Amino acid sequence: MTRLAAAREISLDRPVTFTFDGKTYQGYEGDTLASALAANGVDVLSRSFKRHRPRGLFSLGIDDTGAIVQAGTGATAEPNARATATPALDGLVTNSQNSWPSLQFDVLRTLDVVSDLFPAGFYNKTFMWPNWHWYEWAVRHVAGFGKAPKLPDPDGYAHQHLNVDVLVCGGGPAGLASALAEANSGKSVLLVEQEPTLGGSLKSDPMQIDSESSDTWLSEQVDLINSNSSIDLRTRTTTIGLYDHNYALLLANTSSNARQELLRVRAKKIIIATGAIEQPLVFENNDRPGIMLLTAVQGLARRFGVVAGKKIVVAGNHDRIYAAAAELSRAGLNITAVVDARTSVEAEVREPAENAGIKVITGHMPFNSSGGKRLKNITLNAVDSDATMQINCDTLAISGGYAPAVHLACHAKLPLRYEDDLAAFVPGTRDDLTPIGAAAGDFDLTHTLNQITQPSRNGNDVISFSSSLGPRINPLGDKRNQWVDWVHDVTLSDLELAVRENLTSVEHLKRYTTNGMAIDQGKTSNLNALTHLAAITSREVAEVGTTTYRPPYTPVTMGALVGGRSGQFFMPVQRLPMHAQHASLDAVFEDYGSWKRPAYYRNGTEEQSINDEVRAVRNGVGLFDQSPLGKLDVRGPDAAEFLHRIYLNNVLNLKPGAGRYGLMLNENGIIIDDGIFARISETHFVVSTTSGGASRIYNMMEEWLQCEWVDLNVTVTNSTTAWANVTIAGPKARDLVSKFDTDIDLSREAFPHQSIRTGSLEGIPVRILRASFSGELCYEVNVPTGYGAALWDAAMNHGDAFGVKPYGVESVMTMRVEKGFMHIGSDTDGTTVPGDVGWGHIAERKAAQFIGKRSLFRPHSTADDRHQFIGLEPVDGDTPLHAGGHLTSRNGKASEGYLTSAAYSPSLDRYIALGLLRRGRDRMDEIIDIYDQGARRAARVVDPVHYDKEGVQLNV
Amino acid sequence: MSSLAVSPSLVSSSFRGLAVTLVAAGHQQLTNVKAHMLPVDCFKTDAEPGIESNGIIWLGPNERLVMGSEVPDMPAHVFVTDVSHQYTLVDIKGRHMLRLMQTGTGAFPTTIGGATRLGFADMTLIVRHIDSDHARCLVDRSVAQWFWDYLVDRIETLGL
Repeated sequence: MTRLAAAREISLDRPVTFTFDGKTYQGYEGDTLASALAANGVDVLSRSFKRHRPRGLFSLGIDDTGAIVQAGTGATAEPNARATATPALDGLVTNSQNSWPSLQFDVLRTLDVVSDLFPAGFYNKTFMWPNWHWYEWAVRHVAGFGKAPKLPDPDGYAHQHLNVDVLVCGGGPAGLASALAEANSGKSVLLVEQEPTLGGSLKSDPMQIDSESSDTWLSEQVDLINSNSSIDLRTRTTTIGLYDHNYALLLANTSSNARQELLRVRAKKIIIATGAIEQPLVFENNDRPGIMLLTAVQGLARRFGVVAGKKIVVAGNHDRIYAAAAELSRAGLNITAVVDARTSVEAEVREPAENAGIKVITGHMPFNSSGGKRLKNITLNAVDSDATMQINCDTLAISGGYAPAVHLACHAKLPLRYEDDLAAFVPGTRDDLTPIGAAAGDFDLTHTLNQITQPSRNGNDVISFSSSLGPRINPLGDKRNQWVDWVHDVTLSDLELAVRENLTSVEHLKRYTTNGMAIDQGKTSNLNALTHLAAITSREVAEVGTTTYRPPYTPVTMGALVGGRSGQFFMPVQRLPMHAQHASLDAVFEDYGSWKRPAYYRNGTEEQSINDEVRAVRNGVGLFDQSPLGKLDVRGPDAAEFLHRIYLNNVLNLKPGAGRYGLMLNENGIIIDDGIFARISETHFVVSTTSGGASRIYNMMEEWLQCEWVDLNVTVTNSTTAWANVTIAGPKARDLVSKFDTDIDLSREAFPHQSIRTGSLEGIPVRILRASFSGELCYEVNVPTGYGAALWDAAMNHGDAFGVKPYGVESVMTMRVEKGFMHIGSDTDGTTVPGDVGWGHIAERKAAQFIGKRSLFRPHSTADDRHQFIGLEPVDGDTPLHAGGHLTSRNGKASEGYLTSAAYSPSLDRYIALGLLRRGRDRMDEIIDIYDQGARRAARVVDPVHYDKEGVQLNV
Repeated sequence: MSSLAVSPSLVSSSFRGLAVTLVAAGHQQLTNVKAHMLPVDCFKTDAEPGIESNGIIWLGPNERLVMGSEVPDMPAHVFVTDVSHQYTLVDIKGRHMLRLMQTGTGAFPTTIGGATRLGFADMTLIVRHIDSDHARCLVDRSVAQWFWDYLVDRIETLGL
């Protein structure tokens, strides 16, 4: 394996070994997998999608269509890795994909023989009779590239948020000069380059800049970049998307512990210096290994010291192929001929090649190729006669010109226009988003560099890379074998079939043929497809237009998108103030919204545990951590008026010290939250929201205050997590609370149900609310959060004498079903209005306006057949019920509602339920069916309150 | 003197990475000052948006957070709330402090002395940029442990 001495990017003193399809190869540090395989003479790297044609190295860039492999093994395997962008690391294991039994001998290559059966859109026409599903397994087995790992990805990923003055996308000559110019004017600059090294096209295609070699110029620029503290340089980093307001997403392959990072960048200005993408020629059998883009041959030689082939022919349609061929010849490559599709080429253009002793053939195009898994010779045809000729060669370097990489500009909605001089689309510009250099259609580097230091007021100038351009697509030959999209096996005949079927829109053509939808996303196929579409529909390319390029520019791993936000870090988890206490009591934690809460405390089975807890509360006393309950402090002279508009209830007549259960509605009259609101003073209310609704209701209140009722002198503070809430419930609750040293009179007369008191408890501030979701005597003791754990411990100690037990959320839910207390979101849905839950009369009595009032009197809200809140008792009594079961009339077919909550009642020793039933309140005692999971069960419609209808337990 | 003691909200009090350290910064008196229309002369020296001034952080046109025990008397319509127990204080120190903050937010105040309320990894934080290598985060006590664990995970993943 001999390399050219001029190799720029590899360290010949640092060899690495890796495997491809089980065979070990050697490369050097700095090699890509593609360059190392090329150096080892590996011609076939993959198989095409449909026809399983052998594919070799094609472009050496992120747009490569042949060097697509499975990189790595096990959990870190990456399917569809582009070998051109994969470093050849020591120990790397890679494999080919889409072949069986092997890459070299692929049985499915036979599909190529019957490829007429698989034209564009074949899946809409074949395999239909008698049933697609007969074929589906086989088709799905054959289709697809690579194998996604089934094990969890062990690698780390990260996100980074950055704000910069200027983001420069691309580290080629235009990008380097732009970054330095911006940094020297005092701006902070983020310069990103997708490859490991800077230089862009200059690395492969040297030229003179300011009468010095581009190598010297590049070296100087890189030194200046590295020494400039205002420039944050990120190599191996690709701008994958531009969005509104100059928001950019960048994918960085890192050398840190994280495999990849997604950079989320806000930039005041973005410079797109992404260069241009070389376009291929289209002719018969143009997909054979050994046929590659000219820049690939240049890059292999200059960057990696790899000679692409023993006999190389350069074929193209523009001026630059001559200088490139001469440069390659000087580098030691055997360039047999330069073939130009144009009949007339200036002598001075041809001169470099001719001076290098290279045969120049003008007025000819590649017509066909032959060879097996490597090119053996090409046939040329004259463009203006029937003459043909054949040239033996193992490498054909093709160049159909260069198209600006307009993808990022397209993401950012810059307009595109077709330029005949380039035979490509070029982007527009705007003040804070500027394509520059080849990305803007300016292929004169001297002009570009001048433009950077002295920008034109009229935007970018388009300067072609050639005095004239020849055709890229050979009109002769079998169109079934003239590839446009190498990966997806889209040929000219597929495009013509689409047009025959009247799919003449470029968007339809793309979707029907899948042209441009492969891993390279059309970077080397779109333009040729558009050109051919224009030709066969007798339109101009500008008229045909182009499809929309959307993010991401290159494939992105799911890991990079997720960053560190997976597993336990998927979303923030809220922990209770007494979390450690619950853990020590063997609590079974479950997620309730964002809170981690005890569902119950393990004591036998789940059912036994819950039943024991319920019985403890019903007969003795229990402790419940109710800290997540929303606590909004509403204060100000207009606090009562504000809440009067928020709540369905009357708020104005609430006395200080009193509380009231209330409902909140949205503008459509739908119940959105409930809870106790209590008045601490004339100007201070505490609003209890549902645990999951605290932030939502707080934001809603702020919105009304800030946007609608700006005249109200009210402030709202969300103090939910400022207070720990130890709820003490049960017949012995007062006895337990009385054990604490407090200045609050706890007697029934002084402190009745639904009232609030503030004072001190054990010397610390306390708010105690008498409210109950269990139906028992209950004190909700709120202390500053930091004291919560100590209060809990003290309550457990004091409660020993009363047989105190902690109880969890599931026990609370059981008790509230017994009491018929609805749970917003469980027993209500997005259609439930107050009248459905028995609150219609309260709404009717309130004369003042409140949110949602208007909607309560619409015909739909007052219809007779609405779903109404009811209780249910199964007739047989001893079989579990499940929420979600449909309610029907006896043996009825139509659903008339559904079961919203169900539980076994330890207090009543039977199963009970709540539900929403059409005209439910008029159907008391009716026997209906609960249809659940294919079975019917008879149930009696009853009042929702199953336990202690008179509230005796509560009002003690 | 209360028989009840304040409990820490974090399991650990410090974590040391290669070039960044997390420290549980203990308890601090914090007072939320909020009004329908906050008078401009409430404080001798008021804070400006994005800047901490004399222990006062500007949280909104009509809302401030006062750090420390000295809160001046306020007019009747200005409401003062003790939120000391609502927050856990976490100090991030070391030369990779900014890099760690950038894992969750793009709004970290880059100027030393800057202070703001911002979104961080789906949480709300109040942050103070104390020095080039020192930030203090005020995080809701209920998510403090998750926040701490998240930072530790990022430090380890990124090798900070």
